[in-house]
Amino acid sequence: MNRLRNRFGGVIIRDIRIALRSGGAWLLGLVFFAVFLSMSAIALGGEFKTLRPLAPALIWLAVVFSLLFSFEHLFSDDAEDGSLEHIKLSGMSMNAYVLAKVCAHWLLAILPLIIALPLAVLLFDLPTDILLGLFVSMVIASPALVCYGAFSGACLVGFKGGGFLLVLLTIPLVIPVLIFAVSGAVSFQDASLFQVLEFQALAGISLIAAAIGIPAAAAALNTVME
Amino acid sequence: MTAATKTSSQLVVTDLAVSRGDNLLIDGLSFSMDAGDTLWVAGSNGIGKTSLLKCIAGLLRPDSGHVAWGEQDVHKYISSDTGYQGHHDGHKPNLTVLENLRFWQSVFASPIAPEDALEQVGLSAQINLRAKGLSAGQSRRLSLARLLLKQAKLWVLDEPAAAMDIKGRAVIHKLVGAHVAAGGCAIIASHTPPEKIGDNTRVLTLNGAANE
Repeated sequence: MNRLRNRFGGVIIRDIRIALRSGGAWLLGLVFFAVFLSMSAIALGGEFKTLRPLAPALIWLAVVFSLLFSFEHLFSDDAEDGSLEHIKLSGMSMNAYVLAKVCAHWLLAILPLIIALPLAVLLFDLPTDILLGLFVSMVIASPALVCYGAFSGACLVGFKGGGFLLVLLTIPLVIPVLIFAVSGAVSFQDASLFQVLEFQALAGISLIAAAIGIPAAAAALNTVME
Repeated sequence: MTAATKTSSQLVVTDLAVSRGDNLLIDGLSFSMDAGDTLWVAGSNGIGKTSLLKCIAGLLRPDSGHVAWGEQDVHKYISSDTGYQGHHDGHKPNLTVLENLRFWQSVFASPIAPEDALEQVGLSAQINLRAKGLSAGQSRRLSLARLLLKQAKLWVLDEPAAAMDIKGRAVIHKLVGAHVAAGGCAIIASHTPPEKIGDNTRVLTLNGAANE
């Protein structure tokens, strides 16, 4: 158990350290998120009255798009430089490795978006209820996003220019998340947390995504290596 | 080369066929190795040295045949007792030499201090240098240090001497010598002329599947 924790933590710490030294490349998703939202606000006329009802959907679109492009290199770096072979031969289970990568990715890609959420809400002058709704939907739905993304990323390791395929492969999986997350964030205003059916559905989707996405990604990586 | 299969052998390769894409590279290869053996794999480019080594390490599934290490099929159970050094060094360019090794130390749960391993391969002076600043030969040395951390019984080395200077080759010679003297096995693919390491050094020359 101790050994597993060491390896698991080792992968997460290494990934975070590499990201922090990448010259800010890990913040690209956050920058995209901010740019997408401010451009949308400008394109839609900049009137709070028209923006307000659209804002939750726009914010969620920004989240999904900023994440979509981050999965291409999730596993391909380790696969291409040979690290993955050494990890496999170390006896570390591929599931544990994938889970560690997914956790690191959550910290690097999703957490900054969650932290930036209040600023996005300010941009559209949304009430606090919606901020809370968006926050809860992000927290509940994000495991599904990273697990599905990890699965797609693992399937496309070794394909040069697989980014386009990755988007095609991930979008159908992410659509249910998008539907429930947006309507959940909106209907949160006049209900308590556990009465919002959309959040229950999102939690279910996240659990399914973790239960299927992680072993599937591990199996894909094992196959790609051979 | 075919050697009689002995049950006491550590590594037993039986009737192995390996292909890459549609090319059958190795067919009907059988040999066995005991503790303290060194095997050099020679042959021209593209003949299948790397594929054979990956197959022995358990990273590449053979078309047919078996590779057993300590009586366990390496393609059914990953053999964590294998130290593999492939073409790619697998060092993260933005981490320092020490950080790279610390990561592998945690993955291998190794009791060896990374600093000691670096001293053995002659990289003590570069300990805080980022891996992208290493020369190709130094990068190979860092791979050797990772190999030492793993404390594996079977070493599978693919061109360990590539880009290495004469001193580097001497380091490999010394490390492999100590490894086989301590009862390990080593399989080395190389373009350099095979050298005698340990008491039992053999050479396997691949000629292509057709005239194997």
